[in-house]
Amino acid sequence: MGETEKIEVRDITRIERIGAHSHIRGLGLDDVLEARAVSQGMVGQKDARRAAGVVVQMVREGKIAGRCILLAGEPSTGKTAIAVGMAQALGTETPFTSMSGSEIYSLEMSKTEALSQALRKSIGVRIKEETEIIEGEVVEIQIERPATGTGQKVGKVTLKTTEMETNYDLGNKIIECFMKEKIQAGDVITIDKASGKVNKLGRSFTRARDYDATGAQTRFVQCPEGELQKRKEVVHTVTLHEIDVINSRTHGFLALFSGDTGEIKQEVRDQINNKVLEWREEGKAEINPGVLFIDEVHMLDIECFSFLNRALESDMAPVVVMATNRGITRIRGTNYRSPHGIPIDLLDRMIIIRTVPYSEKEVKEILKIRCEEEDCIMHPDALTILTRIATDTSLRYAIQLITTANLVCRRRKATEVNTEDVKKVYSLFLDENRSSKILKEYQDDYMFSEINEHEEEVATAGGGGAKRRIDTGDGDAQPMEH
Amino acid sequence: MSKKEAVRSVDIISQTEELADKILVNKQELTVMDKRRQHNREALRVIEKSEEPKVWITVGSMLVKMKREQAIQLLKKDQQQIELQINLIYSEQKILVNKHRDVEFKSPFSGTNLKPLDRKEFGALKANLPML
Repeated sequence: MGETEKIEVRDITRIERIGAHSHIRGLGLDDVLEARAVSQGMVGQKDARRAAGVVVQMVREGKIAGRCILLAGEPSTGKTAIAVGMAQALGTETPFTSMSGSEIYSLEMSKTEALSQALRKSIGVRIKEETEIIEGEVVEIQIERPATGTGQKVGKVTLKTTEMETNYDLGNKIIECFMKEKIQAGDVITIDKASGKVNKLGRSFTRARDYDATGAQTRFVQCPEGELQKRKEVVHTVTLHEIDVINSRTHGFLALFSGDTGEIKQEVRDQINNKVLEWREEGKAEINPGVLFIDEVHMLDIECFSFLNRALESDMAPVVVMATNRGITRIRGTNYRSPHGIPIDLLDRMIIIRTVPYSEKEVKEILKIRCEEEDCIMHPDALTILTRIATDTSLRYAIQLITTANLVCRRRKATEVNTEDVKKVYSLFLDENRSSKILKEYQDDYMFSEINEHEEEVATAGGGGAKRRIDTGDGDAQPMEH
Repeated sequence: MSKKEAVRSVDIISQTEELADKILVNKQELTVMDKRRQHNREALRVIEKSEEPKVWITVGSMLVKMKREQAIQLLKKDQQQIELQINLIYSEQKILVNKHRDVEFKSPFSGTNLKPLDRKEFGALKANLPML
């Protein structure tokens, strides 16, 4: 009938570099959206995962536009992991754009343009292409050239499938296509009925033994089944941003790859919106709003937030998921303090999902999953020590120790990481607490030590007229205030 | 598994098998229809090329000798019928496949209700987005 079924083929032998969140395959929810304790790479954090599951349902239904969700929590509580889980749970059909807050500060385009582009990249439009094609294996080709040398060629080709066979009379143009593609008997071809294009799919398996040696590029395919003249329907999803780019420059697709889109005029965008709505009215397109994930959203400044307020109210707006780990901190671009560094009017429009720090059991599970992902066999005692380290220092530090301990263990030619390896790596690599302690002790020996200068400033402040330096590190390092 | 659940499973399985059977039967139908279509087309070409006033033509399993114009009319009408039939089968197939997916608790495949884009519109998109 046609290629209306979506077949997903995954290449198992592809080697991926292991990233911080590559072990996550989904949100790990069951059919009633309850979070399982350990599932699909996610551990614990049940409330946040259930909430994320509800958001995924909301996006799947597609009827709600312009909602804003904030994932807020202490550092290392799984905010980015939940976002990755949501992306996997939505699947490949829904557009999921992931960006970091600082990405909008680019010299090539203004902040609002970068945000508009990111928003438009998250809205997909589904369109369908329908063609009638003739697909079959060539049994024989006969071409008759006129004796005079100049004149129309005529020909006949016999095509077959596993169930039927027929022949076609060919005109001059299509004979030239055949000759250009170098089609011979035994090739499996498709002919597009409307455009007359001929495409060679490969050679039939039954003719594989015709020659002892074939060219390097010869592909063998099966003889097609069923009817010769098929109707092929393919459903594509394009994003609004891609359509914008095509219409704003003559060589649009080159711009897509080089990233050099420049600014796209608002009139072009309005025209595109109207056209897509027109298609939707005629039933030729479906709008498929996706998710825009902005990580480290406290890096956006007050202008971006005001822009977002308005942009989220349009009916072609995606669902925006934001993540931050800041507490009450200064909004960038102003001197006002606000929760999470986001103005209160935008916070009012959001639904906030809280992530809590992990318990010791959950940390142990996470470390076990990461050990599997990084291909490291660990002795249970070593795992217990690593869990202790994680709860004392931080989860990220413990995850870093996994691969390093693995390397140390391989150096002594063993396969299982034991407590000695972990202790060795713990002493070799410092975590944040120990490093700061050492800094405070030996500050005089370091170059340009900040703490030194700050004490000098305080000493001269009594003299009056001293510059007050804005300590930029202060508000950002604050933990979450309840 | 309790009795009720067993009965329900058998119910679901029989439904899916029924629908699947219908879908496969339709697929065979399409092949048969296409065979007829191709044969008609070949016949039309041969008759249009030849000059004889009367031609032999198979109707069902009988060989009949008719006037050339009549034969051409007959074949063209038959082609139209076949086209209509094939379109009907295609739309039926889509409904059946969606019903089948529904009984198996899968969502219907996307783009079922879409009308296809014009060739020119799609050609313009494809020319600019080579990935399509």
